[in-house]
Amino acid sequence: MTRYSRAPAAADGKTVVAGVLAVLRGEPGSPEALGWISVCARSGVCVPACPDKVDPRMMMRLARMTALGGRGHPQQIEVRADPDFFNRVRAFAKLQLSDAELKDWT
Amino acid sequence: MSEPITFWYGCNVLRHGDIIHSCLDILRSLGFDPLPVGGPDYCCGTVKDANQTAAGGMATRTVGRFNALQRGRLVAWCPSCHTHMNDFMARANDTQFAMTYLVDLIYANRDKLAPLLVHPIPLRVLVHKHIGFNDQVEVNRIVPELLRMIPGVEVIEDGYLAPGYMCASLVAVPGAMDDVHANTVRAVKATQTDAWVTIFHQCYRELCGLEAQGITQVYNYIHLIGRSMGLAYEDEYKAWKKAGANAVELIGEERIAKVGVQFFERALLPELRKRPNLHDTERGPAK
Repeated sequence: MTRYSRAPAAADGKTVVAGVLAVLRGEPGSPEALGWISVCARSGVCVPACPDKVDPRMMMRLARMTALGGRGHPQQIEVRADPDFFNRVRAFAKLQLSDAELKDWT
Repeated sequence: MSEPITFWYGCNVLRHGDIIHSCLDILRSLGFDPLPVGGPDYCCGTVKDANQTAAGGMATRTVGRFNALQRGRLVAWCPSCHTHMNDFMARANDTQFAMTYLVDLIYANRDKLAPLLVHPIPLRVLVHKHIGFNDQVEVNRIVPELLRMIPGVEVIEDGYLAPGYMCASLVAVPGAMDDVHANTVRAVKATQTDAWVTIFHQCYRELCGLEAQGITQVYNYIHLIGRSMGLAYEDEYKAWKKAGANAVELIGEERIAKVGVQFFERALLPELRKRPNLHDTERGPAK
């Protein structure tokens, strides 16, 4: 997924990871690290590849939460908010489920 | 005696009432007593990455509700919910249930499923696969095996693996979903298959626009299992998607009034009208 990142391409993966670790500590991340964090879609290829058995996928998940400001640190990547998310789900439910199903299932 | 289970269908699959109903019928046929729950009041919280206070509250609330149902097995439909339960919810809250993923449960009971697959479905299909999630549940191996149990279905292997673990997470990344659409069209045209079959509902809703564009048939695997069992639930989401702007007539004024005309036009209709962004060379039917 890194090819979809708008961040500058990094020559060294270790340098990018250092930027991710900075984010996890609540510090500013490098553009390359924030780029990776922004596009990680949890393929999980990194998990068996990691020589230190760190679970990079979880690392990236936590980094994303942190970079979004979700853990109380300054926000560093764009929050793609969808204020209609839950109401849209409820609307589709109303279009397809019976009143009894809405009451009992949702 | 049927085993009582909680069937946690999640949030976004509420776009596909036919899939939920089919899953329930399949589970009952396999000897389970499923209690279906989902929607925002049972949200796992995975959509709240930017607000961990809210995410944590949702997790505690939802686990508490599952515990209160006093059913020892929770069966998850959504890969996002399944992952979030394993990675976060169950680690931070006391769960009084064990979780199974639906694909695993159906596969474990495939001997009971086989005699129920009575209606042939003569289709050559490709299965839409992602790289991710397979280390948690081997969906890329199991779903094709389940489909091969359906008389008439021929599963063709293409080797294409989409990035991530499901398509909805790719939509927010510029270019990523366009590439998935392009690779899907390429694979269908190269193999001359009849249909593209998704494992997850998130992929189904992003890819069924290809059928709306006349490229290929698109199904979720549950659609084909259900059809072979003789289940007759209509795929309304696909019908609305194919109708696009005319979905208003299909849905009808009465149902639209339930959700509000303004909200329907602002928040639902654009999704139904949205089409894959294909290059000219990718358009046109595969067969």
